[in-house]
Amino acid sequence: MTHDKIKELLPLYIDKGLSPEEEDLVQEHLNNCPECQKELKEYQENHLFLSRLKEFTVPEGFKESILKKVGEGMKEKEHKSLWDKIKGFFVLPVRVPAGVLGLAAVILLVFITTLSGLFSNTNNLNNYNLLREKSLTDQAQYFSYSTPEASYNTLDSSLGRASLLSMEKGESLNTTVEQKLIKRANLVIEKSNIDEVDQLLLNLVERQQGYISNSRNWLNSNKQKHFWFEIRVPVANFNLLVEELSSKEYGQVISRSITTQDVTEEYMDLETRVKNLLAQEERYRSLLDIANEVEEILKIENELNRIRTEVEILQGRKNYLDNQISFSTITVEFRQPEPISSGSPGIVRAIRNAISQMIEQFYKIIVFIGTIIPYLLLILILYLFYRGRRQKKE
Amino acid sequence: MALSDSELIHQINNGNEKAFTELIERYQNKVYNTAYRILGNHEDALDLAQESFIRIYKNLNKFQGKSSFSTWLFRITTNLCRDELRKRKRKPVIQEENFSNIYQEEENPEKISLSRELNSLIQEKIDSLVPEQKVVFTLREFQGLSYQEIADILGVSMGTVKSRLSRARQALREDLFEIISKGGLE
Repeated sequence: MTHDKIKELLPLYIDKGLSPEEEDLVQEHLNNCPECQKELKEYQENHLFLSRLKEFTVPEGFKESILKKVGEGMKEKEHKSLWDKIKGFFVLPVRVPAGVLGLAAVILLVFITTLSGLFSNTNNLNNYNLLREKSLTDQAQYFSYSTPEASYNTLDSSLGRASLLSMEKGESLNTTVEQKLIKRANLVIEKSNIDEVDQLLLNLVERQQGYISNSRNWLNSNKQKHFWFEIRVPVANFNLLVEELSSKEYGQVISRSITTQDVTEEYMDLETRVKNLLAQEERYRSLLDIANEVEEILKIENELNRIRTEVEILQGRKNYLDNQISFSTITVEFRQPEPISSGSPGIVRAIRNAISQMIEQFYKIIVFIGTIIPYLLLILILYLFYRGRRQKKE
Repeated sequence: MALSDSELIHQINNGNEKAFTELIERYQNKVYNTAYRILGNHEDALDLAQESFIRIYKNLNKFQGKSSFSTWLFRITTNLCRDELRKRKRKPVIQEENFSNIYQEEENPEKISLSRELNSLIQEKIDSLVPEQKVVFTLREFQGLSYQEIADILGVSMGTVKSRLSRARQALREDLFEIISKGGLE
């Protein structure tokens, strides 16, 4: 045990502050060390002296002043006004330097303004939605104008009938050349019970001696059902079919367009060319009979091939046109109407809107908090740094 | 029959103001002297002692009796002293003794009362100690508390208490001994 270590143990030796082992070590050392013996004596004297000192007494009125202050504190509590309580609620237990507080206030302002900006944006969006719903019919007219094809009809079915009639009239006027017309119709219909459309349409089309060539079903983003059909029907029943589809039974017609494509010229052209080619073919055949030379025969046969190929192409086109002319095509899209909230639509919708808005804002707040966390960290670091400097100065 | 501390506290919690007075009387000098030895002047010690009791009163309903009442009381007192010492670091306080103390008649004739000069000499030396050592020294020498009690009050280990006390005594040994041997006993 070094001398220095003993020196540390000595002060505790005097009032039983050492373990038995330590005591033994000290005692052993003391036997041989006059210096430590002297020190030990000093410690003992000091300790004894201090322990025998009288203690000071509190002056008069000590406890009275305590009781008074305590009593005042109680009365203060009773009289604490509501305002004080509110103030107390807002007081921060932490002392924050002014600069940090100012910075926090600025950030808060920015936050509020961005939020309100976002809010007004979504408000505009709502107005837009409302407008959209009101102007469905306007939209329908817009759509029907946008089709580039020749003639189109308005939603007013009475007018439609008239124009259909005029088209028929047109046919009867041009009797000199038989008109080749391809009739097409496109309808968009809104129907609530969209599921019965399938069967209804099937029946209708069969009655009109047509057939459904294509169909599609899908759901749009608002979970509304859409049914799309492509119908081929004999041209004679075209008008009838379109009229029937426009009736109430099938729902509310949103848009309807009827187009007639006049392919008479092309058709005539095709016929003429085919006729000419066939005639040409005949001549070549008769030439073939006369021909003797192999070379001549080959040339003729080449030509015959060419003609035949071309005839076939043209014939194919003519057949296609025949099909289109004799069977008109009607495409019709059925869809479910936009859901209308029953009861008092305004308020319910408003409440729903409010709730979804609120949820959206919560999301935005969470995102916002995420974005400002770095700034908060920065503020915290600055604050700690500031406080550290402050303490150093003292 | 004197009531125990916990019985007194129970009374106080029931609204018995006299019980609180009794409590103050029981501990006032202890608190006052402890504060005096740590802070070094009587005015501050008095304020602090009052503040200690006010704190006690306010928080009495929170006192769960996990530790003894005196431990809790000393803890509050030493904490307040520590805060005060920290505050002083920023604004140095001139220790002036313009306070005359009256020593009450003590029953114990062995107790020594010092002259003002002697006392302030001793206190000066004590003030030279580092705060942690000063607190431990005060509690041990002037309040006679055991190592364990001091450890409980300060919330440190007994080893810490011992090392602090040892250093305090070492630091004061020579000067203190000189004063007491020169000054003589009354």
